[in-house]
Amino acid sequence: MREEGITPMTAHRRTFPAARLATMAGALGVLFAAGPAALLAPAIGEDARASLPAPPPDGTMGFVVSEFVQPIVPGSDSCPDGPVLKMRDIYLESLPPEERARLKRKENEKELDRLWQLTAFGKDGSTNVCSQPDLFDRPLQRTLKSPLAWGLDLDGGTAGEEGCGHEEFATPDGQSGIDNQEYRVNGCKLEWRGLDGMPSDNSVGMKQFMASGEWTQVLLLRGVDSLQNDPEVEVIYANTPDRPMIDSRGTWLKGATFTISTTPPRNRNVLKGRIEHGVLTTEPADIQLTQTWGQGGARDIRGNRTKWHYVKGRLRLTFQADGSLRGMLGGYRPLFDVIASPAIGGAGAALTAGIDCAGELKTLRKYADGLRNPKTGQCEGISGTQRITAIPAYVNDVAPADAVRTASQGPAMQGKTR
Amino acid sequence: MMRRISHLALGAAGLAAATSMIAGGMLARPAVAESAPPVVAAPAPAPAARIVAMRRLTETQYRNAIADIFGPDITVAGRFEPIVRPAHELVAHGAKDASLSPSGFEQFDAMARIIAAQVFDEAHRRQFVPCAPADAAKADAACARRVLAPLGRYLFRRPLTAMEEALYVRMASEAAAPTGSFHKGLELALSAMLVSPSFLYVIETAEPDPANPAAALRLDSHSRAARLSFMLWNTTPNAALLDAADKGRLTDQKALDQVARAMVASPRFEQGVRAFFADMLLFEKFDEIAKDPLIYPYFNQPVALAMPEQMLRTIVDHLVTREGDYRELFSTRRTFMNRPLAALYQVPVRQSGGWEPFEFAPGDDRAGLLGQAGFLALY
Repeated sequence: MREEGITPMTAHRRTFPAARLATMAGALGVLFAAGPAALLAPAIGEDARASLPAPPPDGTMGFVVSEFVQPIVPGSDSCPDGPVLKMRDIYLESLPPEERARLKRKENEKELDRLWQLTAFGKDGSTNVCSQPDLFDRPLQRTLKSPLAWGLDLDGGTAGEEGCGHEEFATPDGQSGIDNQEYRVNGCKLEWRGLDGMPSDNSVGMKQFMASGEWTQVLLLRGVDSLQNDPEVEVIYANTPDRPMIDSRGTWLKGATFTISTTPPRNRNVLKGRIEHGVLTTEPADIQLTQTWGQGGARDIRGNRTKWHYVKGRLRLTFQADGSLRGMLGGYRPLFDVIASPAIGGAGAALTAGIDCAGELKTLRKYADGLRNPKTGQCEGISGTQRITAIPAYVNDVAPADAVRTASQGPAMQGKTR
Repeated sequence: MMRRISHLALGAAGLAAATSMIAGGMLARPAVAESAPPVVAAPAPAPAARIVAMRRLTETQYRNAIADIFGPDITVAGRFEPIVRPAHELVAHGAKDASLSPSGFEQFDAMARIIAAQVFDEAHRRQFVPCAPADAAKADAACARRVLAPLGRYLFRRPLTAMEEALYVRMASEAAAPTGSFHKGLELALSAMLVSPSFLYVIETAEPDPANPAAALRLDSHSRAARLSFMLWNTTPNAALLDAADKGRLTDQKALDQVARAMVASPRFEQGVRAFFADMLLFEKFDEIAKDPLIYPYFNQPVALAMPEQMLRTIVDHLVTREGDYRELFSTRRTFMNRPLAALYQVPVRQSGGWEPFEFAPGDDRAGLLGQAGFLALY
């Protein structure tokens, strides 16, 4: 399978054009499976409330989301058993010590590659662990052991009838009742955590997706009377096709204009919010946002369109003195969404990135804590969190009724912002 | 074979124009004319006519002329030898001293071939060939004359002389034989026209002024047509203007006034205004403008492209559309904005693409042409 002196990616390029696409998508999937290594302090911990300016006279404020990553809490105690194993290592772990030692010798590398790669496929070779994870019985992956995580309290401390019992986290700054089971499952993946303090693949990849304009998100706040306390604020959390403006150092520039997408899927989430002590919180609602993996058209696997879907999703964002917003998006994600990227990558994700999609899905099911199916009693969603930074911008809203018209006639603004 | 004939034609074309200039008491001559081998002698112009100025077409004028004569779908592909701006003067002034280097001429030659090939290809020839040759594989002088005479009038901005007409028809005929194509012959003749000094240079000729025949000269009608058209529209004279020149109307002050007013009232006047101000404000500097990205983080390529456009839109809107006072150009709050520029100015725009009217708030430092990013970036 693997040519001497050629990386697996190269070997695929030479031999299997179709698999190559999968490989690339799989590599992209690696980016997705993670979170930033360099989490210094989330917005919640950065309290700038004492020096907040007055809101604009019309009460309208626009922002573009410049950071959208899975937050991690650094520390060697989080994963005492080591990072989540890759397909190769999982295979080795399954062997008796003598055989494991034999295969790890350099002269047996080809044999080892052939054997572990076989485990990524079904018996007839037509299925693989990432495209059809339900067909494979794989071991559970290593999970996070730390009691600390960033996130939101989604269930008020009680799983209730719609959830499943689980252990809750506390934030490093002392908030308790934090629900972030996705972090418990994936927080020990190298793609999430990074290595030796370096930014993780996920944080780098997500930054690129945001900067390229593929995922660009905007926030539009209406009816803001005070940045300290306001019981009623309308929050529109949406995608825009406009690329952000970024300087030569990669810094997002404030004050650019964005227009909310007029073409499907618009992903224009209208949320009810309130501001308390400088913290904007929205009521639970279904939140959907654009998610693309790789470049290419919708019919091309590299450009496959999926979505960020947060059931009972909510925002908790803190106004900063520099005009930005920092905080969290939290909610329950359908389980399969979490592995959507490597699943799209298929065999490539398993062979190149070493992702055991079936093992991850099995672990996600074990720790699922939301969206309980009343018929089966099983939870089909898992709590998750994205850390958000949003900087001031002008946002043009297009009301749903006008979106169809403007989509066919070209962009036009219906209301102003910021 | 085709290439040799082509070179022959180019030389002939250059000579035809050059000899007519010399005979007429020419002042400056383009370099190409000096090296052109003699092939056909052209007749001297009318004894009293005198060339008083020659200005090389600017790149924009060349492109506009080709688009107007042959259509906007004809591609003009090539590099234009720049016209040097004399110190503290307009590029247009420099054009009167602009010669052509051999490599610059080669570029014009290459562009001419590309243009001629498109004009007479199967998709376009029907627009320009009003007759059917007796045999499409052979020369047909009568039909070639019907094609080349009107095209020559547009390109040279005056009717072809009998000698010029005969020359280009002969070129077409001689090229048709070895190529076995009537249309290839036309192509060659048109290529020659397009590298003629009579096309590449606006040649102004003067004639005795009837009001003072002994001492004074005045621009003749066709020179007036060209000057009007390039000044007001930045392009070559159209059929109506050439007709007026043919009838001598443009030497009549009253008629000239009418024509000028009509041209100023035309939408094409904007093109002339843009060209004048782009020249006056040294917009060629935008082509090489660079800013330290650490000091000017909002400066990028889209902004660099938008800055001159904002200035020109402001000028045209104020002076032409609103017929505003020139002095208020330096204080007007009205301008135009696109998305990249809006970020630089830290203001919102209403749409993601294109330009839209914008008005700065009273007292905003950005009001007026001198407060615009483009002006400040240049000066």
